[in-house]
Amino acid sequence: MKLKKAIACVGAAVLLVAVTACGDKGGPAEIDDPKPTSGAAGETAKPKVNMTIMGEFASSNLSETDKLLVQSIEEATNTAIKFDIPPSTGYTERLQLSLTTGDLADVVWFPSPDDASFLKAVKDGVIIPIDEYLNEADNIQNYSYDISWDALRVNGDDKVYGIPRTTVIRSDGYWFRKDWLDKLNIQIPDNNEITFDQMLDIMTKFSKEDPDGNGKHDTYGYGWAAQPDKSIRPVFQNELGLYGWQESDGGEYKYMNPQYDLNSDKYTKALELTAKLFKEGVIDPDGPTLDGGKVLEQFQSGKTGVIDGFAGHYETFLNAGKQINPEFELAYVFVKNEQGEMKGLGQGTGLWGFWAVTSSASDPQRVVDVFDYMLSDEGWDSIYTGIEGHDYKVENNQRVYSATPLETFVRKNMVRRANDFMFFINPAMSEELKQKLVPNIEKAVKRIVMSKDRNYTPAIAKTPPYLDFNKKFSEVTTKIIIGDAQSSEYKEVLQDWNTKFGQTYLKEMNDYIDQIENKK
Amino acid sequence: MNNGKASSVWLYMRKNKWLYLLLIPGFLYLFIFKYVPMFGIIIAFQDFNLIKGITGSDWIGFENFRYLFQSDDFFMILRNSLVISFYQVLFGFPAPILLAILLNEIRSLLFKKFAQTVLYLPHFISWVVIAGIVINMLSPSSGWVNRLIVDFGGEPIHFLLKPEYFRTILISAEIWKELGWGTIIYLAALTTIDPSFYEAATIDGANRLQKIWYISLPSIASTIIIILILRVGSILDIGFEQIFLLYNPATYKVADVFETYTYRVGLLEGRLAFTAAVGLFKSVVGLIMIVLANRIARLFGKSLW
Amino acid sequence: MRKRIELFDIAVYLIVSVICMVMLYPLLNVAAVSISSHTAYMQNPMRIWPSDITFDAYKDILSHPVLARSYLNTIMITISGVAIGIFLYIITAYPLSKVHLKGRAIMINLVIFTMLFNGGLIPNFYLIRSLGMVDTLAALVFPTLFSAFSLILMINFMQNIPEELEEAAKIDGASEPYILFKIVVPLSMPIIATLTLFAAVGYWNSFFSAIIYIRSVENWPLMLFLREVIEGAKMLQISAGGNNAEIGNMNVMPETLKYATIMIVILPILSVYPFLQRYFVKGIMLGSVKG
Repeated sequence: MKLKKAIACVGAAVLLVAVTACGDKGGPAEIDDPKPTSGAAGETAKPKVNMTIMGEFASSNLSETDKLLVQSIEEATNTAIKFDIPPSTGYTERLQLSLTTGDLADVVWFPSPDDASFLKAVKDGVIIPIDEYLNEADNIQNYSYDISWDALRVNGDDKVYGIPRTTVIRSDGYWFRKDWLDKLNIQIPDNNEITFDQMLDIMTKFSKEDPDGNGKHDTYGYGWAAQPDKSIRPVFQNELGLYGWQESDGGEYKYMNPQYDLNSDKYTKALELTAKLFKEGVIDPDGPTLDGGKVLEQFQSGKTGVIDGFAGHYETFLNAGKQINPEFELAYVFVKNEQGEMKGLGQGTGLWGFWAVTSSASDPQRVVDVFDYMLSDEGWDSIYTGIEGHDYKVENNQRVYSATPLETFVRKNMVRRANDFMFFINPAMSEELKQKLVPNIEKAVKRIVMSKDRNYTPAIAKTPPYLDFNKKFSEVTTKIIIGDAQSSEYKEVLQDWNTKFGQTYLKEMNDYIDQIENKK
Repeated sequence: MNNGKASSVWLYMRKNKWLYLLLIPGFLYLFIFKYVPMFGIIIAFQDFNLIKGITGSDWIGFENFRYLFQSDDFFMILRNSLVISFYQVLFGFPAPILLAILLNEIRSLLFKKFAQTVLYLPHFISWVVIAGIVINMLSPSSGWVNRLIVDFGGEPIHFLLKPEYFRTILISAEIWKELGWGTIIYLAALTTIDPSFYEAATIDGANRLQKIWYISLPSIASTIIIILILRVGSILDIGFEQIFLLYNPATYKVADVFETYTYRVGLLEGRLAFTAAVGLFKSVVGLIMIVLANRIARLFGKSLW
Repeated sequence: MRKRIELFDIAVYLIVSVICMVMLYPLLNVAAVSISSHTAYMQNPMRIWPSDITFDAYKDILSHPVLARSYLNTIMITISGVAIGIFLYIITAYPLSKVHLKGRAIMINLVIFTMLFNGGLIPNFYLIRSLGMVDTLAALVFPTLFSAFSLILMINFMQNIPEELEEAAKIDGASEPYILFKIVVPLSMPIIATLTLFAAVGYWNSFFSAIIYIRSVENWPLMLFLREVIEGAKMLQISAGGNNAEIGNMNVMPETLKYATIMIVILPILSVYPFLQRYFVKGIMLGSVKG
């Protein structure tokens, strides 16, 4: 008996030790390779610096091309870079935990400058301003949008609290099922631009006239989905002239967003239209309960005939669609607004998140230098095309690219250059395809209108009562669209908002925009 | 006198030394891993500052609680949590007991084993997948529920967008997922019944229902009561994932519960101290409920302690 | 009389069979999709019969570099967590099942208190850090070793074991540990089996501690891997603000791959049940009481 018990105890203890031991083995690998990097990038010999970068990437393990890139950066900047990549399903938790416990990397990625934990971290001094380190960072300065900097001045002290992870600002057009258009004898003009009325007509036909010819009423004009916060918003805002914060046509405030304007019907009109299309089954009835990832699935499986999307995805979409239905063909189309203009709201502030330097950074200047190097011509070339020997070979002075590398988790997602839309074109792509896609991407970049608020969040919008109130907007918007509420109810909520917060909000916003516009 | 009392305690301890010694590791564990971190509760009373941390942040007393009780959402969330919890207990609690008793009545050992294995399968499929199936099933365009409705001449219904269906969908999905898993503890209790009881009852001419009522149920009664008491203690714990995956702004007014609320304010808005206050409120309610439930159970001669 | 009984049996079999069919659906769906082609999935995502059968998804996921390591981690976590946990439950529940034990009520209250109150994420992290367990598998074992709920269930079960058996042994001069491991434990096999199952499944399914305490991919448990496969792409999309072009650069896993991963993750833990099942099917108290 005793023996048995003893064995049980020992067994458990052994396992425990094994568990701990195995854990230890997986500890941080020391990168201590003091290889002298002679005269890299003409820098005077700066001492080697260790730094940790915490970011969200598709994989927590670096791929081969990622490792080679990081190595090239380390050599060029005389640094040893370690990545802390939490699982993407828990990035928010880990970020919050790091900020709270002081267990911080040198530089940390945040999804957005209005992220609540970022603002708190700035306020409490965990994230430091980087203005003084940016003085020599010409590449970061040159390849970021001006509005990105405005968006990163979050503390009311005119200081910048992050390095932009730039994204190319675009306003994308729509993917149409070309084979459906052909079947219904609909012509698209050569310049790929149609009017909003034509768009509505096509969507209605897609949903009512059996474009897939299976005799069933099972197709819908437009595919859409709920926002990440599960709310639904009116569709076709670009076409209806909703471009965020713009100069108003008069009234109490100089700058206004129709969404917040008690005197404008633009936003309620958009709500009404979406509700109407939803009721008539022109837009996918499943939309409100789908998450964004499913929209593509519905389109490829032939349930919806139009989705919005990026022009550069042509090959991927076409191949996936053809697997399901060999007749699947694609057309890329822009829709003009009601005034017939080619305009579209440029999403965001050119930021696809940003890198914030923390108070634990041992040498903030060197952190900024690393990002600056990545945007230099040399660094950018490695990011865009990869590393010689792995991603391409040089034959007869020509680069020959290896097959499409998908595993560019870190390589292609650290930094971007503003307006450099060629980034989205695989360097190995054929000239023929390039000529087909590039004009569309260019159009999407050229047609942008920017909202003047630069994602600024007035102070009042950071207070708990305001944050709690926000829910009412998504609630009423959703209800109107699905037909459970009259569009007038939006104005009622807006009125309520206006009394409680609106006046302060609008004033703060106007002051901010005024100040920025005058600075120009 | 005192001395005598002390020595009698000492004598008692010595007599039961093994019993007390055996308790040491368990309570040491509880102390280190459960009680030590409890000091963190104090952030509910702080204006939590990232640099100053738990030990240095400024005290704000009951400010977080005042805000909670004053906010418009609080009573809606409390009501939703209570209503959903009530339905969970009403339907979700007895279901596995009934099923366990049914399984206990199966005579074929092979079928019984097969049934048990199948029944607990859905527990292993994550909520993401189960919710995905539910959403597909109820889809107004392609779900079979709506196809049936249309075949019978009705109009498709957006079930997940209608507040009146939300609780039914939620509770059904929960029962679907956890019913079989819930039977396990009752099956374990049922195995301890001495078969001679059933034999004697058969000789006395009892039918099957009578045997269930007079033998099976009473013998698992203490298990049922204990699980019920513990369930009542978690009256404000609804479960996050299933609600988060099935709700949307159209159903907020019936679906928003403490878990979804703290997710939004805590994780998305970063109000850590406030989240802690909400958690503390839930814990206190749970404590009160569990003490009450135990009192009531004691009236029937059963209790946790 | 006889006819009545038969009707009753038919009803029971019928009801249980119908419930079984309903319960089988999700797994059949997952299994069918996991061996169907992506095209077949798109045509009918609700399928329970595979079509256009292919094992590519399994080949893909089995060749994933993280899978094997996370599998091993989860097995180690589960085995050690269950072994230590069950041992702790047994030695703690036994004294607390003695109604006469002085201080019992207070101790049970202390146990229940831990079920209701907890310090939250941050203090727990501080604790794990000060114990030096960050980024070790021990951090995935210890915090969830012991649940008040399970302990109460075991106390309740042990309380119902007839006192006479122990008394007899005591008269023979047996010590408490002897009585516990030789008499009480064998009689408690149903509850031990239940809690083993609960704990094993709990460890197998846990991922949240890993998000908080684990830093390197080498220490990921299986469930975190699964979640990354199922939800990772979605999360990234959220962080990209629905900016499709960014997603295009990331590898979004097709559904068939996700379903194959689910199968690979749950099959081993499903196979634990049959081994524990005998304790739920047939009573064992009888023999010992009569003996």
